[in-house]
Amino acid sequence: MTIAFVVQRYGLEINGGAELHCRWVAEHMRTHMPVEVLTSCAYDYITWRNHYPEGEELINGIRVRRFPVSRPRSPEKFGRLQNRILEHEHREQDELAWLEEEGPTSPKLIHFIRKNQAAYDYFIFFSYRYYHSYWGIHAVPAKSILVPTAEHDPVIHLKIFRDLFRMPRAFVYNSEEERVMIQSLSRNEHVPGLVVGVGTEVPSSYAADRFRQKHGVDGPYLIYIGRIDQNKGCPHLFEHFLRFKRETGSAVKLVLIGSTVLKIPAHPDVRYLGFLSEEDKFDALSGAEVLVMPSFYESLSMVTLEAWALGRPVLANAKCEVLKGQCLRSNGGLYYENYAEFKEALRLLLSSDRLRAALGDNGRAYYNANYTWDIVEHKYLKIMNDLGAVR
Amino acid sequence: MDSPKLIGATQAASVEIDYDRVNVAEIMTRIQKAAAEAPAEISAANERGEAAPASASPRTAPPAPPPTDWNPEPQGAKQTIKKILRKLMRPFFPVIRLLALPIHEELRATIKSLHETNVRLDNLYRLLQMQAVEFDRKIDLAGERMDQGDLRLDHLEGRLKDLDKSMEYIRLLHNLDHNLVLELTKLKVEADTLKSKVRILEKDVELTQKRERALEEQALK
Repeated sequence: MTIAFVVQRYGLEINGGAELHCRWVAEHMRTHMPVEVLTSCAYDYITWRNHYPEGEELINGIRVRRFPVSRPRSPEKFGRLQNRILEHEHREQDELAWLEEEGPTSPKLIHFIRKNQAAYDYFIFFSYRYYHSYWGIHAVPAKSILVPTAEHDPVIHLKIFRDLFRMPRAFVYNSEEERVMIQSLSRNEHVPGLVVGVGTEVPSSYAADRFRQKHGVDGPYLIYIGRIDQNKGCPHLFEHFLRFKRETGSAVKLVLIGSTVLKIPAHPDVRYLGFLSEEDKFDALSGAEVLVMPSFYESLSMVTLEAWALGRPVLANAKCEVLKGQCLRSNGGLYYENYAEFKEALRLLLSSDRLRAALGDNGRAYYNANYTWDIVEHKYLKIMNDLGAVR
Repeated sequence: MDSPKLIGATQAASVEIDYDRVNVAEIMTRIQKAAAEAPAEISAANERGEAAPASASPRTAPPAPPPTDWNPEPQGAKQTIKKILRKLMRPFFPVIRLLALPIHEELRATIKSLHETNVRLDNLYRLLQMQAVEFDRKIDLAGERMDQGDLRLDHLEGRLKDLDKSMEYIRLLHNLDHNLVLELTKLKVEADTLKSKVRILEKDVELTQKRERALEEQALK
C-alpha cells in the first residue's frame, strides 16, 4: 500500500500548524508503508510565492514532490473577495474565485494527482480550506482521506465546503468537537471518520533549571507558546494577566515564546523570548506553573498536548470549544470565558500545588491514552484497513 | 492552599477539591459561581488598585515646601558696604547714565523690534488659525463627499445586483428561446413527414381506384 500526503507547504523550516502535523504523521507512517508527499513550492503562507525548487527531494527519508504555484496570492484581492463572500449574497462561482485566490494555486499538482492516481492507494489531504484539498479531492474522491484541521472559521460555512465534506472516502478528525461541527454543517454522517489528532515529539530529557539559567527567568511563571497574534487571543491574555497582577499583587510572571506580530506590553513581569529551539521550548514548558492557551480558534492545539505530555496543567479559553472539550475530557486543565473566571481559575491554580500536580497527572494520562505515536499510527492504519484497497 | 505568595494578598475562592479524583467540570462550576459573586470584590479591588498609584502619580502637584522667613532686603555688613558705595558713587551717576545712553537706546530699539516681531507672529498665528478652520471645513466637505461616494457605491452595487438578476433572466429566456426553436424544428420535421405520408397514401388510393376500375372493366367483359 502506497500513500501520498497532500499538503499546502512542506519543509523542515515550517514549524507549526497543519504542515508540521502532516510532516510528523508522514514520517511515522513511513515505518508502515511507502509514503510520498505532494506539495507546492511555497514557503510564505501569505502570498504562496514559489520558494523551493520544483521537482523531487528527500526530506527525512520521504520523497517530496513539489509543484509550482501558478500565481501568488494578492492579499488585497483576497481580502476583497473574502469580504464579498462573507458579507454579501453571492454565487458558487464567487466562492470558487475566492478559493482560487486563497491558493496555493497549483494546477500542476492537481494534474499530477489525476494522472498518477493509480500509483497510490490513498491520498491524505491536509487542511480543507485550500486549493489543493478542494480540487485534489474532486480529482480522486474514491481515494481521498481528508484531515480537515477545521476551526470555527466563518469560511467553513461556504457552500463549496459543505459539498466537499460529503466527497472523501474517510475523515481523520483532530477532535470530537471538530467532528460534530463538520457533521452538523454538512450532514456527512455517512462518510466514515475517526478522531485521531497527532502525537508529539517529547524529548527524553528536559530541565527547567537549564532554561531559567539560560534566559534569566526566576520565580514562578505562566507560559504561552505559539504565534503571538490577535487571532490567538494574545491581547486578551495580556490584559487579563496585567489586571490579575494589579488586583492580586501576585509574583507570577508571564513567559511568551514564539514569533510575534503584536506589540508586547512593556512590563517587567512579561518576558518575551522570541522563537526558541525545541529543546529550550520543552525546558521552558517543564518549569512553568501553567500553560495558558488564550486562542479562540484551534482544531487541536499541539502545544496543549505537549504540556500534558510533560504533566503541566493548562488554563484555556473556553470560547474555543476544542480546548474546553479537551480540558473536560482529560480533567487536565481549567478554562475561562471572561476576566472574572480567568482570575478565579488562575488564583486557584497558583494557590494549590496539589491541584496543579493532579491536573498535570490527568493530562499526562489522557495524552498517553490518546496521543502517543503508537496510538495515532494504529488509528491511521485502522482507517485504511477498514476502507480496504480500491486500486 | 499551598502557595500564597503566587497569588499575592488576595486569597483564592474556597473550592474543595478531591485531589485523588479531580473533576474539572465540578471545579469550573464552583469557579464560575465564585466569579459571578466576585464583582463587588473586584470593583473594590479596582478602586484600591487605582487609588494607590494615583497618590504617587507624577502628574499630581508636589507638596508645597515648608514656609521660610524669606526677606528680600539683606541685612548686616554687606548691606552697610553697599550703602557706602552707593553714596560714594552718587556724583558719578550722571556720567554713568551718559555712558549707558547708547546701550539704553539700543535696548529700546531691540524691544521695539521684538514687539514688531511679536505683532507679526500674532498675525501669522491668526492666519494659521484661519487656514486650520478652512482646512477643517475642507476635510468635512471631503468627508461628506466620501459619504456621498459611499451612497453612490451602494446604489451602484444595488444596480449591479439588479443587472446580475437581469442577466440570469436573459439567460433563462435565451434557454427558453433555444428550446422553443428546437421544439418548432422537431414539429416542422414531423409535419413534413406526415405530409409525405399523406402524399403516399393519396397515391395508394389513386392506384387502388385505377385497379378497381380495371377490375370492373374486366368483370363487365
